[in-house]
Amino acid sequence: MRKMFVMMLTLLLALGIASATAQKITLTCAMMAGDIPEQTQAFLDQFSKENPNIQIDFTNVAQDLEVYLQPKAASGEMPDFISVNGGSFGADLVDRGILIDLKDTFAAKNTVDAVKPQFTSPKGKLFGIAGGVSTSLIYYQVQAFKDLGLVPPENWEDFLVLCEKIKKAGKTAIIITPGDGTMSNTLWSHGFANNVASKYPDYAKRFREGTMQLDSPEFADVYAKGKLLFDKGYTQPGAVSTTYMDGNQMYIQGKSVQQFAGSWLAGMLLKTDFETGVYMPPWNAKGKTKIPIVATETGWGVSEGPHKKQAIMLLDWINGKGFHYYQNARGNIPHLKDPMGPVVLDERIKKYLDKLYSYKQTAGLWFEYIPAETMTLTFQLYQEVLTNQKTPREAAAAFDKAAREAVKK
Amino acid sequence: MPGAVFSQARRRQIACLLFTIPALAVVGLFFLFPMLRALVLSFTSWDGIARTWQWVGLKNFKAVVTDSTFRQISFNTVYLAIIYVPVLNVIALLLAVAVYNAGKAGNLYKAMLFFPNLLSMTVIAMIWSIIYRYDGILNQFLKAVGLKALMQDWLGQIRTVLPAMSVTIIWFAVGYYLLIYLAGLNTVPVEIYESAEVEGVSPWQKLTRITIPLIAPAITINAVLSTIGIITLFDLPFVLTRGGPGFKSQTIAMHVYAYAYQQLRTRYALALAVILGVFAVLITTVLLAFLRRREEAAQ
Repeated sequence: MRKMFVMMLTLLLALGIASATAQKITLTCAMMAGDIPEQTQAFLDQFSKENPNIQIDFTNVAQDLEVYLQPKAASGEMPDFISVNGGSFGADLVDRGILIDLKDTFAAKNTVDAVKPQFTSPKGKLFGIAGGVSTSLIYYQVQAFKDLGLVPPENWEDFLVLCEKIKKAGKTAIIITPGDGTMSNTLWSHGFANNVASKYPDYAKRFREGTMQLDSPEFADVYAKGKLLFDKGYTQPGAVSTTYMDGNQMYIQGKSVQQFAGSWLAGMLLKTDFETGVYMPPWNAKGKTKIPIVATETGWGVSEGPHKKQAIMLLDWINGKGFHYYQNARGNIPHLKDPMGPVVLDERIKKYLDKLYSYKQTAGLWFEYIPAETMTLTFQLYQEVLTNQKTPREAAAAFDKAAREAVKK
Repeated sequence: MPGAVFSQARRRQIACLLFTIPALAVVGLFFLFPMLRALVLSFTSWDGIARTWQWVGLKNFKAVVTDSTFRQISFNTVYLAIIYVPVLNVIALLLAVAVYNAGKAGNLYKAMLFFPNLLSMTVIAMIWSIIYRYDGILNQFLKAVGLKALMQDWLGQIRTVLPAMSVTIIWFAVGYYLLIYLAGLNTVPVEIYESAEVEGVSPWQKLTRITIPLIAPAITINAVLSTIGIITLFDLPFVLTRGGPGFKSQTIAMHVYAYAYQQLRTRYALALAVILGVFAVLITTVLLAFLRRREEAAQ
């Protein structure tokens, strides 16, 4: 009788386990994939195919990631798997226990160390895995350079000479996009890198602690450089209201000889009807070494919750054997030690990267180190400077005040 | 009925109350509760995510009012209201009178003028951003008619951004307000106009002495609705200008969003939303009292 009871119990247990293993899990997944929505759905389907018990409910967050995530975090309804940017927002979520520490995952171990600090909270928790390495650079029309006898300049002074020559030839020298926040990736970040980060390599720590001195002539020059390009008429007509998408279209249509944009646009800007080259933005003064940008792309994080184990499986897959599905769709710069599959990267970008990695000092992109509270201020102040509402020095003082207040909070 | 617990009238009252409960519950749950919750939270240190907070009194309100942008965003909102409410209502009224007298073509005009209301404000903003950009339709038109000197960055200059935005909002809204005026005009007895014709009253006198006094209730409705609409304006500037250049076209409603989701200062967003709500109620009350008095005087 007792034996029979034990056997029945074992049978019931086995059935229970079998049904549990067969149970399908639906992972909620909010990813920023406005540029590759179908491809993202396709590689998530591939993951589900390889892991039949895990179905994915995918939401494409077209833009404003933090706007999407904040109410979810507040209401305790975070998706299991999310896109996340490096910087203070994600750090705050992991320190509150809303995101999990990814330090011990395979994805973290397969990621190059250079892109981890931006995704590490002040308490030392790794809240995200970068989606790639990024930089911003100047794209230019090769034929126009040849026609005008120009070569990529090596410093700011030479850059101004080059712009003047292009202007004299009756063409727009460079496109800037102050109409939205995207010029923070270009003029602002390169200005900050060469003027401020060059002097304070521990700038990220200083920002965190509220000790970054920005009410200075060096920081004011970040704004002054953009103002100079605008005032001299090197930028496109109607520059102040030009947005990111407008600017890209203008370059593709050949309306400007140069476009200052991110490496993530290489897929679009290198496929123009005319030949396009790239060079490192010369925001350095004559005789000084350039400080180029090496930064992270929007990455991925996992929320605390009942499905975190399956979400980590997806994270490890995207940063492992499934990586090529994602990378091939976007054509971006890999962040993995071992991409575990074929990587698609334009030769011009590869060459650029070889040069980029030879620099001893680099700096990140703006959103990785400035307080979240000041993010919109970067371009709003730029607009105020361009329209003479503020001098560059006043803009620097206003940013300094806002950054300090944010830390005080 | 002998022995009845409630009288007929009382039973009717209870029935009415029971029938309104579902609607009241919806309004209470989805409107009143969040509103009161936001009001309470605006006096706390809530950061938008945490489950706990502390009472901070008026600190958030003080921070919002002393913020360097507060004066600018208040100015923008009041500027838009001052331009928009009278200009919109005058244009809508004149167009309504014209359409009213247009005979069979009136329906076509109504459809044309109301058409923008069928589109979302985001679509409207996208269309007008194409019109206003430097290589856009407006500048191309100016160039074509020999007015190249007038070509400019309409949305990128501090002196043109708010007027440009006002034109867009009026273009969008005029059809809606026109319909309300038309409804008002249809209530005016035709005999009055016929008598006026016989008496040799001029069109201007007909408008000011007959039409306007008799459609005063429609004017009140339109003035109040357009004031509330403009004070709480968010989507159009958000898409069209993002509040720029700088903060020159940022409205209070946009700044609530900026505090909450761009600067992640939820407590300030709540405080500013409360200020905006109180401001809207005050303005509407004053306007309503003034217009009601005018209505009574007209009658």
